[in-house]
Amino acid sequence: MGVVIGFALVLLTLAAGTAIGVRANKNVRAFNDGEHEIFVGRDDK
Amino acid sequence: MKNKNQQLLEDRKQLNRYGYAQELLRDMGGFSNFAISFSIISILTGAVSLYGHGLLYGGPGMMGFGWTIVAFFVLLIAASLSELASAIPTAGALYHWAAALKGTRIGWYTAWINLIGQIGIVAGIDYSVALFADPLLAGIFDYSSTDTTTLIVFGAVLLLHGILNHVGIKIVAKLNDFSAWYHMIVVAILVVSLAFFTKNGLQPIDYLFKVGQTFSDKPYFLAFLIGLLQAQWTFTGYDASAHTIEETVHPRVRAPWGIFNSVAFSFVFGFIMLSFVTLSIHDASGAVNSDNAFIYVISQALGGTFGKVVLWLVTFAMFFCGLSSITSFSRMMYAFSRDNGMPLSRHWAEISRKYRTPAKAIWLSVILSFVLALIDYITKLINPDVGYSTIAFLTAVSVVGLYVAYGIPIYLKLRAESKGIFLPKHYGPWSLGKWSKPINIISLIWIVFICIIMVIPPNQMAAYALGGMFILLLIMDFGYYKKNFKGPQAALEKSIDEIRRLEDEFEGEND
Repeated sequence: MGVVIGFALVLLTLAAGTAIGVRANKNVRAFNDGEHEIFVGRDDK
Repeated sequence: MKNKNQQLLEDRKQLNRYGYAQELLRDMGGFSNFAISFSIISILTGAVSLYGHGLLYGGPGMMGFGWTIVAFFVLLIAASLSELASAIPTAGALYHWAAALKGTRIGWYTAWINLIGQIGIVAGIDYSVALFADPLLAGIFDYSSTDTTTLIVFGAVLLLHGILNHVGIKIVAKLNDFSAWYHMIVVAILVVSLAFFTKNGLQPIDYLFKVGQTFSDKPYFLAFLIGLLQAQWTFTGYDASAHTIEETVHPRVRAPWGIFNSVAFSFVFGFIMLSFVTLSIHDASGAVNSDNAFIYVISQALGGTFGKVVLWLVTFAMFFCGLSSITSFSRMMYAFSRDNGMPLSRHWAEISRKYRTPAKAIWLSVILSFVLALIDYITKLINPDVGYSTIAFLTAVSVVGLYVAYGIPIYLKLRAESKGIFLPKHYGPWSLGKWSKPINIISLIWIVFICIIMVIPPNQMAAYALGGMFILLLIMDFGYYKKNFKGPQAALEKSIDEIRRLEDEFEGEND
């Protein structure tokens, strides 16, 4: 039983990592510099 | 697609918008940025030097369950930090993010908490090198390994790391790249050796996930939580990719990937390594009662000479890890000092014109790390029955310091979003969209949980040390910095001409 739960946990961690990576990669590719601003913590000069 | 020169120009312009000149040499690619964090996480340092701690408290199940549980949550924390690195790409990283999202004072505290964690991590890593190297050297040069000889080896390792970091980012970056490959190759050698040449065969796979067995006097559940220090300490220091962001080409994409991938790859390689090491155990109680459980297990499994070769390989991996950690620490200190956040900031923010490295910050990192271990050494001389190990103390200090520093900007980002200060247009290219908020929240819950776990007995000494340091911070803040610290926002006042003049000086020196 421990083995099954253990490997399920390993697979869950791998799946979570892959899903986050895929999502971030999609956003990197879709990024349009013109629609974004650098955040400096107050109004830009 | 931009060529390298166009990209460098754009990266410099982005940095200039924060009021900073491009002083450090921007030469690191994506792999180098990943390599520095992968080397600092160093599965061959954290997971190995605290192997005995994990086994003592959580038994073999710590390696199967503990490692995976911690990795799951650390992946979420890494993703949260990656978003921030992409949005605010400066070497101050955690400190600058906190200051920009809320204000200079919280930024100042974040910086100091981060610095305390960095002192702990450098000291912990190089002390691990000494713990492994000293007995090996003792065998060669025929002397007895003691706490004193370990401290001397520790000092020598720190000194060597200081020199290498001082003389150049190019050498260190090459060694970091080499270190990443080295870690993967050594793990492969270890795994193949244990799979095919172990003397007593491997345990059945169930052994890796065996829970309920602890070799401590604590109830299992509590013991398991204490044992998590092994994995949690291993997964620290990946903010290095953000601290070297001003030395990375195309940093808004490469640094976040460096943070995230270093954690992801460390999980996979670490799991494989720990599985084979644990499955080769045939005398767990002998291992936890030995001076070094990992050395014991490897020696039992592979025999004297082969075991020693593997241990030397592991020791060198730890050496590379320490080298990278001083790079990261010194960059953080440099960034904080250029905003005048520390006593004698002018010195720590000084860049060597010859080597383009923050030379004085590097040597201060070395000295502070040595002093932390020296305090622990003296404490143990005065009271030999303190009941905790030096490595557990140093690692607990670094875990709590670093994770509190990781948690502050993540919390402040959530807060700034809810107040409409940080908007979708402020995210960098590496972002999580709608997943960001839940991932940030889960990350924060884990950080709070793990910080409590790391300072309960037998690691209460770490809580006292951190408490003492925090009182010192309060005194410094109310005594001077509350009124005088202007934070990274002050740099925004710098004119572009002033920034260009500074950059021209550095370029002129290097022509």
